[in-house]
Parts: sequence; structure tokens; C-alpha cells
Amino acid sequence: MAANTSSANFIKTSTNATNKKSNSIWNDFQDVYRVSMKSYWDALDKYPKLKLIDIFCLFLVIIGVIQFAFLCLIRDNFPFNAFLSGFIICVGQFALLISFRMQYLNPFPGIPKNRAFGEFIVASLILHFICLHFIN
Amino acid sequence: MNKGVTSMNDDENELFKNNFKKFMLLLESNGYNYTLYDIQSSNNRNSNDIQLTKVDNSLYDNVIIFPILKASLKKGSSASENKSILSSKNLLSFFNNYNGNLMIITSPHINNADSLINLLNEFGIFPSPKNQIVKDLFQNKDTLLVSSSNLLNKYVYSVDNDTVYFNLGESSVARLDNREQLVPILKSSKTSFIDTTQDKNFEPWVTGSQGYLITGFQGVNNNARLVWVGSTNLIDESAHDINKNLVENLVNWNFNAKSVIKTLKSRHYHANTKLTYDELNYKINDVIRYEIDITEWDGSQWIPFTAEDIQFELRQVDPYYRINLTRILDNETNNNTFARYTTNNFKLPNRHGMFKFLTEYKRNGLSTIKDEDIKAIRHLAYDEYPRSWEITNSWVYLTANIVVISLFITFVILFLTNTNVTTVKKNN
Amino acid sequence: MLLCKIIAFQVDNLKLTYTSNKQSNTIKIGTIENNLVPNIINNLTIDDTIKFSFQIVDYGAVPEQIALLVGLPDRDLEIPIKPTLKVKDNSILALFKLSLKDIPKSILYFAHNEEKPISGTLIVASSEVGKNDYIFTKTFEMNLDYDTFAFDSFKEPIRYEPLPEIRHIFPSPPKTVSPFLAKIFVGIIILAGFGLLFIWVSFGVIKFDNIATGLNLIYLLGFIISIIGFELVFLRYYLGTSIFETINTSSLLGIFGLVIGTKYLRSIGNNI
Repeated sequence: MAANTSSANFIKTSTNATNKKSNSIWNDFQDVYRVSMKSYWDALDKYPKLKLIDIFCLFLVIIGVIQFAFLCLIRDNFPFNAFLSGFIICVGQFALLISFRMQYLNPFPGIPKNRAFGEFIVASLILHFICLHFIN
Repeated sequence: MNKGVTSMNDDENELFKNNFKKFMLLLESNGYNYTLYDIQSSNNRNSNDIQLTKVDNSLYDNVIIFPILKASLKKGSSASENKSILSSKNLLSFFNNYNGNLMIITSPHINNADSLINLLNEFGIFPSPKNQIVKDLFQNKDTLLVSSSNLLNKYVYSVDNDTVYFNLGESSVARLDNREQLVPILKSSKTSFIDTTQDKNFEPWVTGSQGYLITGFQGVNNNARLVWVGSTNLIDESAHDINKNLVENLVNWNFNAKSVIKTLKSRHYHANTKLTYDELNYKINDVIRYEIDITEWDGSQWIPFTAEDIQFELRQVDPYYRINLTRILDNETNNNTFARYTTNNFKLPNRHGMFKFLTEYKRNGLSTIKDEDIKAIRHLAYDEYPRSWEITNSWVYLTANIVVISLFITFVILFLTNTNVTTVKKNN
Repeated sequence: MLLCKIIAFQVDNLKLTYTSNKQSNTIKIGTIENNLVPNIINNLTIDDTIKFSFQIVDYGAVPEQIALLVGLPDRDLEIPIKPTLKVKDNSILALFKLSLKDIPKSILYFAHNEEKPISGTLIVASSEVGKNDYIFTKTFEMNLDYDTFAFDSFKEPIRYEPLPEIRHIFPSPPKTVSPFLAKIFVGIIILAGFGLLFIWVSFGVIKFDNIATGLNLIYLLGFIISIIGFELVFLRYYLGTSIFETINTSSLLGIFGLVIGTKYLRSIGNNI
């Protein structure tokens, strides 16, 4: 039910937009943004587990930025291997999470979702080992 | 010790029976056995009979050459110039290759043999030509008296308290090159000169204190010594009592019985654990200690050698360290035949590679010593660097690692224990 | 037997003439005796010359030794100057001429370095006169204007001597940040970790309502324990266990974890 009304609203706003041909690119961009955000929230509502993944990704970015801010603050990348290790674990974990999320929504042909999860765990373990080894 | 000496001379043997007898006795009393060869006598005109060396060994340790006329080395000998025992090539080979010591006495009254003069010139000693005789009227009109304050090298001979005047009779004087291997022993005084009032046709060879009456030469790599004396009066009977001490010390210095030093052993090890290189290889930044034992021969026995300026060098190509060695005086090295010197602790440079541990001591009048050891010094191994928990910078990155790992674990647990059912918040 | 007549000579009428700034100056010293106070001449340049002359009176023959030694007597570094002699009746006139450009570079170098004057020492001696009449004294000292002389090409002769000490200077170790600042950032990161947990809670995604039952629960527990086990093995490796030990335990744990994990994941199928 709610979906029907929202799609009706969608059609209404789009017809309004096409009527004004002299609309600027900014308005087009605003519409695209609104559409993508709406689909995002809808997906979240459908699969609440995506909240787990997305918030984890956000905080990985935050932790990476904190490390980079520390680097910029002291202006010295002295144990460069340590910085790389800390940064790569955040970036790598982020990448693995995003790839799992992709497979969660639209599974790759021939790979069921639980196998994707298993591969995600194995890859994360390898990443953790490498980063712990690299930080010496 | 059997030290063979040959003396070659040109004068009649009467000279040896009369004037030089006390000199030969002095040689014998100092332990030298000698053989006398006469170049002039017809037996020895073919000088192939005299051999200084045989195949690889030297038959004699030292050679004293008394004044030899130029003429007696010329057409008289049937051997060619280069094969003659007194050729400069032969004597130089005896000096360089067989470590033989040479004492060359020339006379101002004769034309000295060319080969001897050439040999001396090669060493940087240029004696005055015939008939240029040094005089010092301020000491004595008839004979050359030289004060012992003109002695230049304490390792050869020095007089402590009173000044003695050596009687050198009629002596030639030499100009010297500026080489550091030359050991000037006795210089002429400021007031000495060469008399040109009789014959104005020559320029005096040298005047004043720029001339030298007795000079030595210290070979560097072979520790052989050469001495040139300008007058036979130094060793003559008549002046024996005055000159005896000088001659005795001169001969002993010349024949390596005085002022000879030697290294016994050198060692280096880690300063704290006392392990040597073979037990635990050196790596960069290690703290090391180097020691060396040096001894001196005083004529009859080995005694400890003391000096303040021996230096140790740690070199790759250029020296990284040059350290003055200090002497250790403890129970082990006291009352012994050697003196032990140490660098105290020093830290190896933070550069890896082949390093030379070198001690070289060259001083005017002393024999030279060189002790070197080449060792490889390695860089840090993969596990010898500081760990990340020791570096404060990396604490931040380490906690990031740990936090991400623990968050991952909680994520997996939460992911596997949640459902996909949404709790729909019903507003209406 | 030879009768020796003891003759004395007297050195007289000493004159020292030197040019300075193209002007000729003369100093009359008169009679000379030993321990004469030397005259000091200053500011001579390379173009100047010095003429030193004296007369020996009441003496017939030429003394054997007449020399003027110019240089540094303390260093035994002197050159002799030969005189030109004129014999007149009973007296001899000796003249020494020294152009300053003839002074060897070594004397200039050491005089300049040690800041000592270059002295001229007169020696007159003869074997037919008693020693008391010999002359050996410093007659003049020169202070030169070294800017006009060129002796830069002179190098001191090499002699054996100890060289200066060298101690290697190590590069300073890298500077690390103060522990206080490091601890602050450590705290920030831990705070971010807790912040994540807090947001998870506040978004309502922590429910624990899908815990498996029965056999699957054991599989789930085994799976989670193997993951935690792996992380602990990695931490032990970080703290110093050798790599071989780590590989050993990881392989054992891996076999166990793989078996349990696949069993569990199969049990939940596509409902993950």
C-alpha cells in the first residue's frame, strides 16, 4: 500500500519536472539525489541487516580518518609500516564489507549468499593476519 | 745471537790492524761476528766470490762498507757492473728484499765509488764531493768537534746531562731530502763551514746547520736500517774513547738491536659480554673494545714499550674512528715483557660492510709496526628492529588494528544472530 | 817549530743600508762585539734590498770564515750569504748584498706562521786568531710585509706524527611523539569503537532473535569460537610466537573451522 502511494507521488513529481523544460542541471541533480536516497532507505527497510554493515563501514572510515589526522598532526610518518597497517586494515575491511553487501543484495551467479559470507570471513581473517604481521 | 757482518773496504789491512781495531773489538763485544772482505786484493777482483745472499736467504744480516775508491770498482773486476756485489742494485735488493742493514762510511779525501754515491742519493742523502771538508773553528781548528747538543734523535742516541764533544776529524757533510723515512742523527753546527779560501773554484756544498754529518734511513715495510757516516775518524782508534758511546749506540741502532718495537697480539671483542667476533659476529652500533700488546727490544731482552700517541683506526676507506690508545696497568700485564694498550669502549658506526681494524705506529727513529684485521660488520637482522609497542607513534595504529578486529568479531556474531524482520514502528 | 804570531782582528765600521719605499736608509753600527743588540728593520717588501758592510782592520790575510746567515736561527733554517771582499793595505772591506726576493719560501712561510723576525747573524772566524776574537752575533732582525711576498705554494714537509682524533658522529635516532599525545589518540580510537557499538544499539539492530537451535547452535558456537581462535592465534604471533608454530595451529584450527563453518552456513541456507 504504502509503496503504491509513494510511486504515485513519484510519477507526479516527475511529470512536473518534465513540464519545465528550461530546468537547470542543478534541479536534475537534485532529483537524481532524491531518487537514489529513497531507494537506499527502502532497501534498508527491507533488509535491516544492511544497517549493521553500513554503520560498520561508516565507522571504519572514521577510524581511518582519525589515523590520518594523527599523521598530519605530528607531521611525521615515522613508523610508516605501522601507519600503512592501521590504514589498510580499515580500507581493506571496508572493501570486503562493501563486496559482501553487493552480493547480499544481488548475489553473483553461482555463489549463494551464505557462501559469500563464508568467503567474506576467510578474506577478513587473512587481512587481519597480514596487517598484524606488517605492523611488526 | 749470531749476527753476521761483512765489512768491505778498499784500504790495506793495516788500517784494520791499527786504526779500526778498537772498532772491531766493539763490534765483537756487542755480539756481532764479522767477516772481512777486501775488494782491492787480487783474489777478490772477481767479486763474484762475495755473496751476500744465496737463493732466498741472506748469508749476512748487516754490511759495513768502508770508504771505497771509485777506481777499484771499475775495469778491475771482470764481472759486469750490475753483477758486482757493490752495485747499487745489489745493495738495494739486499736492503729491500732481504731486510739487510747497511752502514756506509765515505771519506772526504777520495772519490767515493759511484755505486755507493748513487745508492745514497736514492735514499735522499747527498754527501759532499771530494775535498770538501767541514770545519768548525769555534770548537777546534784542527779537527771537527761536534757537540752532543747537535744529536737529533733520542731513539738513536741522546746525552742527558753534560754535553760531550764528538771527534769527527775530517768529515764530509751531506744535504738531505725532505723524506719522512730519513732519520737525521747528527747535524753540523751553525758555525760550521767548508773552507774555500785555498781553492776558489768550487761552491761549498752546504754551510751551517743545513748539513748533516751522520744520517740514518728507516725502511718502512721491511724494518731495515741504513746509516751513512761522513768520516772514518768517528771509528778511529785515536778518537775511540770520546766517540765510543755514540758509535756503540749508532751500530746497535743500525743493526736493529736498539729502538725496535714489535706487536705481539691484538684482540677485539664485545665490551659487555667479552665475546670475540668468532663467537658472536659484530653488527652495526655494537660496543666494541680493542687491545694490542707492544713490546720493545732493549738490546738484551724484550721490555714493555711505552708511548702516549699510538693510535687505532677503524677504516672502511676513510677512517671512521681514530682513537688514542691508553695503556692498561693491571695484574695481568704488570711485570711482563709487553705493554697492553686499549681503546676503551667505542661504538661501531651505523654502516655495514668490511672494516679494517688498524694500528700503525711510525715514528722517526723507531721501527714501524702495522697490525690490521679485516672483519665484516653486518646490518640488523629482521627481528632486531624495535617492536611496534616500543614506538609511541605506532600505539595509535596498533589500537586501530585491535579495535577493527574486535569490531569485526562482534559484527559477525551480531550478523549471525539477527533476523531480517523489521520492527515496524506503527505511528498511526 | 813554527812560531805562531797571535794576531787579533777587529771588525769595525759596520754599516747597514736598506731600501724601503725606494728610499735608502743607513744605520751605522760601528764596532761590533758579541752580544750586540740587533737592529730591527720593519716593513720591508719584496723589492727591497739590504746591504751590510764592515771593515776588518789591522789584519793581512782573509779570514777563512766570513758568512752572514739569514733566516730563523731557532729552527736551524738559515741561508748563508757570501760576501764580496776588497783587500786594501791592511784592511779588508766585506760587503754582503741581499735582495729580499732571494729569500727562500720556507723561511718566509715559517717566519710568517710563527710571527718571528728574520735575523741576520754574522760569523767571522779565522784559524790564525784566538777564539775570543771570533765574531758570532745577531746583527739585525727584519719584519717583513708578507703581503708583498708570494709563498703560498710552499707546503710543510710531511713528518711522522699523530693525527687528530676522529669519533664517528651517529645520526640522531628518529623522534617519536610524546606518549601523552599517543595515548590521547588511542583513547579517541577506542571511543570511536564504543561509539559504533552505541549506534548499533540505538539503531535497534541488536536483537539476538535468530539464534539457531539444537545442533545448529553447536555449529554456530563452534564457528564463532574458531573465528575468535584465529584472531587469538594471530595475536600470539604478533607477540612473538614463531611463524611455524602459528602455521601449525592455524592449519589445525582451519580444518576444524572450515568443517564446522560449512555445516553451519549450510544449515541457514539463503536466510542469512
